[in-house]
Amino acid sequence: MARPIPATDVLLNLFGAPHQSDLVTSALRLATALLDRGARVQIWTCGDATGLTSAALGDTKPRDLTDLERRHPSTALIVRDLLADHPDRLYWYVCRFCADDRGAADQIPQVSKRSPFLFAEHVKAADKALVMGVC
Amino acid sequence: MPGEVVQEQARWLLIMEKAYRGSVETQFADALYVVPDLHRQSGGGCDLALRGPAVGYAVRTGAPQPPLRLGGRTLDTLPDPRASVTKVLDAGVTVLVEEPDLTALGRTAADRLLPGVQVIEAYGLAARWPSYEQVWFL
Repeated sequence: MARPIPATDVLLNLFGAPHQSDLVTSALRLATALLDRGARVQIWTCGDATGLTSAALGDTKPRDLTDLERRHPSTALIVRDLLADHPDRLYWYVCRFCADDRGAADQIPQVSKRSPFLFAEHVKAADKALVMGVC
Repeated sequence: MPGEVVQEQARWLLIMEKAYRGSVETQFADALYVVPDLHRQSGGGCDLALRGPAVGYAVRTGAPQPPLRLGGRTLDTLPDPRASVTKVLDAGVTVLVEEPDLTALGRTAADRLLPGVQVIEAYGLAARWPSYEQVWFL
């Protein structure tokens, strides 16, 4: 039985790859700004952006070998905490096909993997959809 | 001296043209992070050339690097390219920028160049390639 898709004000389709530009940061800033205004937001990642919530990342980035005492949170932890900060208002979906294709099939449990065949349903569940980047 | 390893200076030219390749996902591990160690591995022979948008890495902005708030988290570990270039300079790497790329960043860009960064003439970089053993694009 298909899982229901919560109605949201905005769907952010994060298609651009991380480590290429400030797109990921912009998407997270935009999501935070929307949530601060009381909006309900869903984020759908495709392509290499599915790796942002890969379980393999753990909670921290590899240690900075020039500053061993400092810890740097992984994107998986940042997304997990952002979801915890906004229960029932923020949803994070990961394209199952893209995640499988890019070696990121093992995702943190706080996000939901969805078939690309359901993508249009997510678009319909949002008042507005914004595509950020290309796969 | 007997037993002493004498490492020949390699003379590697590292060219960086693409700038601002991620923030939240990158943090300390920006493209400049590896440069001081490449300099060490080369035996102290690396020069770094910043071109195009990457020249902005060597220009002071006048404002401190702002932290980023995402929900309840304040992230103060975003990339700080000016600090990274300063680390590269402190490691002994020669940092070069081409004059037209610097001018393109505005009339005051030359005044805000980080101390120690050298400005070379337009197209001067390619003329220097034969003097390097290796040329890398980072």
